[in-house]
Amino acid sequence: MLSPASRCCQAGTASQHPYNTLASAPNSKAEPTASDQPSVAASEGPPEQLLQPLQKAWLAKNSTFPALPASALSSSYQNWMIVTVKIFDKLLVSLTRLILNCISGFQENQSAMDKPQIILHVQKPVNYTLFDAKWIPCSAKFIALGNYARGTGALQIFEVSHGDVKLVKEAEKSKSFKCGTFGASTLQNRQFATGDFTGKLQIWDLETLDLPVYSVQGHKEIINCIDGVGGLGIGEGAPEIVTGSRDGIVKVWDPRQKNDPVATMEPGEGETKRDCWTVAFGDAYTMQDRCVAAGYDNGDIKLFDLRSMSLRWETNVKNGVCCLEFDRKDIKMNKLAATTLESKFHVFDMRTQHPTKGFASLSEKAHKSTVWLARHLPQNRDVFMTLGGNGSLHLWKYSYPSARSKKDSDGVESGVAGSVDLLQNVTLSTQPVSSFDWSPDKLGLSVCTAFDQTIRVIITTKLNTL
Amino acid sequence: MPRDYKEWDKVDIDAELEKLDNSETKKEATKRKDHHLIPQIDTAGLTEEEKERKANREKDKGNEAFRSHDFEESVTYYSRSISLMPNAASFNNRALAYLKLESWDKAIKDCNKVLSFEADNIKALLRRGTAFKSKKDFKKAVADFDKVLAMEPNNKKAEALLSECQKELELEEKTRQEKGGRRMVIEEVESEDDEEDLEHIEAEKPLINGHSERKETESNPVLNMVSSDVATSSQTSNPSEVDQNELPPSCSSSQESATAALLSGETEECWNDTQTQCSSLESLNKPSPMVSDTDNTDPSALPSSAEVLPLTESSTPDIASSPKTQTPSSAPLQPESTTQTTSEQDSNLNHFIRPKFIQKFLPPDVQRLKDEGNQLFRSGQYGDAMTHYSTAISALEKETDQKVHLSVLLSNRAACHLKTGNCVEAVKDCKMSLQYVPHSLKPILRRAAAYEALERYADAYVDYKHAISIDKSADQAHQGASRCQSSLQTMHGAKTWREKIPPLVLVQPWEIPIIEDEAGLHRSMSSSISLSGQCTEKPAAAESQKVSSPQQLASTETGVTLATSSKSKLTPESSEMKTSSDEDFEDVKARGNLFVQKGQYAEAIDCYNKCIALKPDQVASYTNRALCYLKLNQANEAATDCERALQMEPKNPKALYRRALARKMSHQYKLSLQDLVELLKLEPRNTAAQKEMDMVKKVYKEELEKLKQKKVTENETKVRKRMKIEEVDDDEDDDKPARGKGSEKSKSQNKSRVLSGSKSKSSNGRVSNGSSQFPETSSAQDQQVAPPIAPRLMKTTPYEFCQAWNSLKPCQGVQPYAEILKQLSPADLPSVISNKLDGQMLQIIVKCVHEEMVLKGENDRGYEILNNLCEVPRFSTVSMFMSGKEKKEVSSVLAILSKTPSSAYSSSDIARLKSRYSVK
Repeated sequence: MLSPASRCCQAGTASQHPYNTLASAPNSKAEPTASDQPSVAASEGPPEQLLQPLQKAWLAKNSTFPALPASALSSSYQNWMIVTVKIFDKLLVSLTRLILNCISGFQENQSAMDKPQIILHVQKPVNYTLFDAKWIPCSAKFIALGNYARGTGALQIFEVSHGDVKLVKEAEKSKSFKCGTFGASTLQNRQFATGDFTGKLQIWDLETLDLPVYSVQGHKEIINCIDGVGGLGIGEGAPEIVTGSRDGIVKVWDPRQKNDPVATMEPGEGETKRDCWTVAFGDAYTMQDRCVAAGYDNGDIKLFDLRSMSLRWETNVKNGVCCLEFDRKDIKMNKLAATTLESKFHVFDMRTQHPTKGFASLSEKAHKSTVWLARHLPQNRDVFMTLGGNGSLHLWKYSYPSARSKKDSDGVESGVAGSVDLLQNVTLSTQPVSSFDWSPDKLGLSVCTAFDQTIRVIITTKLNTL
Repeated sequence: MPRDYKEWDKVDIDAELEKLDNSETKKEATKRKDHHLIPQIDTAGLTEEEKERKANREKDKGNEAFRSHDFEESVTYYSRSISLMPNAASFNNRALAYLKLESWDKAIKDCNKVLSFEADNIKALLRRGTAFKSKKDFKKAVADFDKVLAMEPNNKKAEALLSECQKELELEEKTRQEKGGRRMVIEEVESEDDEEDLEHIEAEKPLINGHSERKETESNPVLNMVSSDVATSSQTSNPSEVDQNELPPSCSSSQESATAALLSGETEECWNDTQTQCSSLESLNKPSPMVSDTDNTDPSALPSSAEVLPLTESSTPDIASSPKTQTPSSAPLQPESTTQTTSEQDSNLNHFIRPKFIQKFLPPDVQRLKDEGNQLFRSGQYGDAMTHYSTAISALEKETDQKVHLSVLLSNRAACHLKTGNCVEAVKDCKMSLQYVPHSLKPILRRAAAYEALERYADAYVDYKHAISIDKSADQAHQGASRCQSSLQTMHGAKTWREKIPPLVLVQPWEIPIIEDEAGLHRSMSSSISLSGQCTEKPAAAESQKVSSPQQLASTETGVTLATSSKSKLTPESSEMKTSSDEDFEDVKARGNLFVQKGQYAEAIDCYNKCIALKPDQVASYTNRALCYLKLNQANEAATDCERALQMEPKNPKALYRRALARKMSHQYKLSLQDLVELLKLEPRNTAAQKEMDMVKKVYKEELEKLKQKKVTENETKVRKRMKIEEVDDDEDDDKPARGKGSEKSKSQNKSRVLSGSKSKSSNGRVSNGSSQFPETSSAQDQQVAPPIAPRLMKTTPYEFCQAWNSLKPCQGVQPYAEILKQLSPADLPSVISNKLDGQMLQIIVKCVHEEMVLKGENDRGYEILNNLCEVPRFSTVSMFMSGKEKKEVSSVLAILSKTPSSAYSSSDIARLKSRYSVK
């Protein structure tokens, strides 16, 4: 058995400077993909690409030019003159048209180019149902999780290189995987925590996938969701994993502690157990502060404060909560995005809590179907992607109000919600999008899985200008 | 709460949750304590890559926080990023965040850091420039913006900021030129012996104004009984004498009107007026019976002032208790009676004495703390300022005699608390401050503001009212009171709100205490302790002084010495100044300088007299005294002093300069010019001297030109003008006594005018009350009578021309206009006048050409002007509307021109002009 450090080295050499390959990959493939995927990119392609076909047309016209005089040679000199004049006329007209077309096309594209573009970079069909995909930190690789039709779990590692997605490693386990996270692992080890259909929480060393390095039967039923904090340099304090399950219990785990969770949040005796669909860490800006948000199928959102071990806040958004995510885990709670079953999502301003009204929020309709996920851009917390049940991706930007809090008549502060703007949207598949993950390293790179058994690597441009 | 993992197992989460669920609202009310981020990150054990990653992420967080206007958080994150990996971008961003937080100094520091990484980082330069600009350091800001523009000539932002800065600079320059002397002087005051901080000075300002007003008016009833000489002298005496005069402002204001009437000359009527008014006041104020008493005695007092004093003493204990108004005036007349008054004082003191505080000098370390605190406060770093004040306060609390400073410091700290929003602490500090020195304006206003912020409108209202009762001119208090009133009305209803507020504090003016420096400067602030001990000391000092005053009387002029003697009494130390001449010399000189600062030149002269007596070989005493004489328009005395100084030190530039001024004042322009030439030889760069020389030359020329028509009034205005310039120059000299603030200055100018006026009157032998007291009015008329001098055109631009032209609007004759025209070359006329030509201008120009040029033989120039005038853009339109008179003027000019042949024009030219002007 190798020590973690040496294993890390091996991982590093195997990937051979992941950054370099990653950097070159999108650029080198930009043009071919544009032509391969006209549905996505043709209308929004850069102006150079538009120019090319026009130029070809012009050249085609030009090529007829030498043929004409040949036929005219036999006729009289006058004829020849007329023909020439006609040719020049035609040429002139076509040229002006060409130029006009170029100009107008360029202008159209100019305005479209200011916005971020969502470009499908690679797509890869697989032979299992995809549930989750996560980038491996500091690499151009990602892990896809799912279940085979035969009921076994799939775990595959892919690498993005030269405009293609290559399978690097795979493992088939007895139980189907539902979700996974790197959130609690160190940057050196990059151990992957998964939750499976039987309620088992396992942590895998990606070099040796034979046996998990940590395994615990966390829940009685399927683990729907998982999140981690304290690792990867994100979030102060101890590394912790939170899992939410169909049995209605939310458990917080420390991977350094075997068998027992460090905290459990479950409904009291006699209360109906709601299916917990989503969990998220946040507020981990000091060693002490940390909280967990959990969303349930009945529309409940609960915010547990791990510092005081108390329920800090709860609300109901009337629809099953598919996804909760803090815009950043490692700052003082700022925003919480919650997506719901029936085509709506909410954004809560988590800075100012009113004793009775709680947090201010805004809600927005999107996707005309279930909003499955919301994922904040790691490099800019105010930009996030929502993913819909109809296979569409919407890119949003949150704008803060002029004052984020106001005092009510009693002198108690309450928050003020901002507004969201839709920056771009695109539909990639006919099936719901099951997962989406922004690359923590490369701005705008993301991986997305859908129930059409396809993995897609997506590039979003112009995010740095927002 | 468990923080150990094992403990977690023991916790019954559900029970806990339930419990907390129930008490949730309670918990929310107690509010979570915010745990602040540590702005430093421990980098131990991190690899370079990790550090970079983390630094970038922290910077991102900073950017995000910045975008959501959470600047403090963004500063923290940038600091964290910098602690991981210092790079230009983070510093640059933090600088911007500091800019937003208005921590200019920190922003500048960060920008400097960035510039040390990248010398030509445009953003950093822009930000530093902005910070400098906000700190009013426009020169440095301009330098930064210039650098940016040198690199990026099209940078809009830099251009805009630069132009703003330049505007500010110009403005500054302008104000400096106009009254710049004052500004410089204030700085000197602060750096020198004035121990008061900014706040204190501010607080005083309105009060001082009030004083000077009150002093004049209050003393008037008394003065009118005595001779006008005495009146003026007591007017110039120190404001402190008012402090002991118990007349309430209401009373004094009515007397003001009375005295105003008096001054109109109808003396008898006025006596009645004052009487009636004073008797009407009887019911209002306690002291007023005494006042009316005095007034009753007035008619009898009129024939001889000697009789007045015993009467007033016996009948009015309050006036007796304020010997300063009375004793000096009586001193030359009736020495016996003054001693009487002083002996009586002790018995009368106990009643209506305004409480007084002696302000001790601060220990140097505390002073330093305080200054730093003020500095920090001004630069907006209230937290730091607060700590400074706090240390200063804790240092002072040990001492028992620093009540005034403690009060000021506490009040300053309260201001810091206010700024940081900690209103409760602000209230606490204000209360403490008021405990030390009650009825002082600043702490009351601050406490009111704090109450208002705390929405305790009733308390705030009471405090604002209190402030108003102390100082009626406090705008802040008036506004605050009305604000509070409106919110109280909405809270309690329009009719009943008054019942819900606590009782108002009403302050009688005599309750407002005086604050006295060790240097003998009086400040009106507050204290409730009656310092009978000090008061008894003072008369003693006064008495001893009186003994010495006759000697001084002999040496100087009466008007001055009267003030002197009254002055010297005000400074307790002056009685002890007989020994150790060295120390005394410095001391007296410093005091003299102080008086000059405050514009009390007569007192200053006295001090310098003493200086000269102590050390006759010091040049500075003479030059300084010369300055004072200059200020008092006593040109001859000034000149003699300067001569003495020059005897000792033949090349003393100040003495030369002042002698020049003095000689100019006494119309010895030639001699004055000689002095100035000599001075310029010594100091070729002395701009003041240069200006002065230009001025003198001009005046000299004028003088020669119209030697006959010259009037005295004109002369006076000139003198005043000269004084102004002289002031500016004074500040360029460094060891010169600094002068007081603007308000005091104008006061002093008034005074000097008053003095000169009275002097002239007395020299004329006329002792009429009315006219002698209002030289201001006459001088105001003088100003209008004096013909404006044509301004000099710096450049021949349309703007300059229009400015110059319009500035002459009020004057009658065309001569100054002709001056302007002569400065221009006629060929420039079309471009200079451009499209500004109108009928009036045309008329004036034609008149100028006629009267000032053609009739004086300057035919060629006249022709050129007329000729070029035709080329002015709007000429054809304007000339259409020429009146018959104007046309006649033109034709007469042209007739003269055609009669006198010249090489510049021919008869055909004249004919052409005639057609252009459409005259026959």
